[in-house]
Amino acid sequence: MLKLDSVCTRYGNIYALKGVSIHVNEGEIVTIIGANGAGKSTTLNTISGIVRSVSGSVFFNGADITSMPTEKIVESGLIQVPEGREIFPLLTVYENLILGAYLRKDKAAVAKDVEYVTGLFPRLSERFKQLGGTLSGGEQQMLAIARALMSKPKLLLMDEPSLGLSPIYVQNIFSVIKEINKEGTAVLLVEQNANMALSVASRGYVMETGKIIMEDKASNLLDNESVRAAYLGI
Amino acid sequence: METIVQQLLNGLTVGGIYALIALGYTMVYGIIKLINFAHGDIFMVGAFVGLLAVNLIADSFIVAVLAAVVFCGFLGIFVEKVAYRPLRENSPKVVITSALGLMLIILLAVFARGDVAGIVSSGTFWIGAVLILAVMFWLIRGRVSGRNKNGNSRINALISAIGMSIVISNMVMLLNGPQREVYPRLLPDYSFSAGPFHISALQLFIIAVSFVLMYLLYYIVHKTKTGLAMRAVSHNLNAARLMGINPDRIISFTFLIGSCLAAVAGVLVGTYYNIADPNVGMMYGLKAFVAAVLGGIGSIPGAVVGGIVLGVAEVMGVAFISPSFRDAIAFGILIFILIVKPTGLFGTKMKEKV
Ligand SMILES: Nc1ncnc2c1ncn2[C@@H]1O[C@H](COP(=O)(O)OP(=O)(O)O)[C@@H](O)[C@H]1O
Ligand SMILES: [Mg+2]
Repeated sequence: MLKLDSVCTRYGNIYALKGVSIHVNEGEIVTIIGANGAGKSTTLNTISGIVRSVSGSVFFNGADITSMPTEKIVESGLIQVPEGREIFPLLTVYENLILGAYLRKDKAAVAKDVEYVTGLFPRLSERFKQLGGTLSGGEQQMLAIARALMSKPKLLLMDEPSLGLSPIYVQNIFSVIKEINKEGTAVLLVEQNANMALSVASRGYVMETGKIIMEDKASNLLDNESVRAAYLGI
Repeated sequence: METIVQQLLNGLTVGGIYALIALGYTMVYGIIKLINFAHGDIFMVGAFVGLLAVNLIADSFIVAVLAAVVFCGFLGIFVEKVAYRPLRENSPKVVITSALGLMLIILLAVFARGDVAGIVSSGTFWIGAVLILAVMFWLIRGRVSGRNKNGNSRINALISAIGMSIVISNMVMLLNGPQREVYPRLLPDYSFSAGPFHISALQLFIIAVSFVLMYLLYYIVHKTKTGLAMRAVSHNLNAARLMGINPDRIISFTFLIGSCLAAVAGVLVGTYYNIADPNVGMMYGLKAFVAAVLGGIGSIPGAVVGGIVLGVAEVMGVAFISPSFRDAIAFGILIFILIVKPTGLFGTKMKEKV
């Protein structure tokens, strides 16, 4: 479904990705774990076309999206929930959700999906008229995910959804990720919370300074000695 | 008392017009953090296109406004494409876009005048064109050598904007000549008495048109999906792109709306003072800019309030202090607000655009 082939990306003269090759199959949850600064966000932003690769290629559902504009990539069903949530703080919760459905024309179905996503995150429905910026961190993360779901994604890219959240919220968000996946959406999950990520994913990649250094079934990575030492703190 | 009310009405008329122009500055600033210095010139072009349409088609306010709005709408989009978009784009197409755009203006001017001599000999026109091209070349050079990544993008945009302003005002002077033109009375002006006051129907009309347009703008920005996208792009460009919004299209739309409002203002000013002057673009532009800063640049209600406050202050200053104060008042206000409250009346904290 998604395939990166030897992708290199640089900021100025410094390479943040040095030949990254990963893939995600239909219906999978795949995770990329790695320390801060490894290049995880750069990988997602290169896929979304927010930053441009200097070499290598990105294919999504058979189409070459390497140099496609971001909005076209979004239109093809590849949606990112960015790091730090990036909700619109001066727009209401409802307006944030509607922006998620920006490319959709089917008004009635959009209204239905507002109900569906607020069913997933009931806290949001109590806060429809509130400005996004007034929500707590956990609620903002819920909004960011709900907003992404409004576009009916085929593949969801999630950048550290658990960052800075209390354990209750983390539980909640990961159970929603599983539920979304069960309904057929593939997920590429980037996390520093490796334990959580590997427990929901089917496969995982380990990233270090712009390179994939390990790739395996999630359960194998959870058992791997060096992964446990480096990323699980055990 | 009577004079005060009378002057208040004068102030509201001028202020409504300032507000219409100020809205274009503030919307563009809100969305790409750029002072579009060519905006005052678009206003001036609006007056002249209205005049041309009246001469060619019919002696009618509606005809003048329609022609001005359509032409300036395109002009606004064109200015953005030639002078500003190349600065954002990440490709070596930049010089070509700008050069082709400028060439198009020159060809049109040659065609309209029927001779080449005026354009070739107009020094200031070429200064403007060279400013724009110099910025673009400089950008490419930086990109090729890997230096100055967007570092001075604001200065670049500013120079490009000034270049565009020079190009447009010189174009009008080349085509029309530098002299002022008499503007026909497109609207009947009669005054009626309400108690002790003499009220001008034309003034009431101008005030009404200004407010209707402001409401229309409010409606677009706050009640439509495109308006929502405008607000999203102005708050966070990359997040907006992740929603599937094409920022270039939204930015074009913003220039379109702002330019249309300026075009209407141009025709209103021509009709009100019975004069079209190719030299006023700069002055009206600066005053509307002061109005936008006074209200808090980037704030739509701010531009409206700023425009009206400036208009009233100016008229009162002329009436009660001295007519020679007229232009000084605007710049006095600018200096005062920059010292006391640089964010303006409605401005929020300045957020640096990353
Ligand atoms: N906008 C940027 N400009 C310059 N360098 C950047 C930028 N974003 C990230 N980097 C650098 O690229 C590397 C990878 O960063 P990132 O992809 O954010 O890592 P991660 O998401 O894994 O923490 C880091 O060394 C970081 O400093
Ligand atoms: Mg990151």
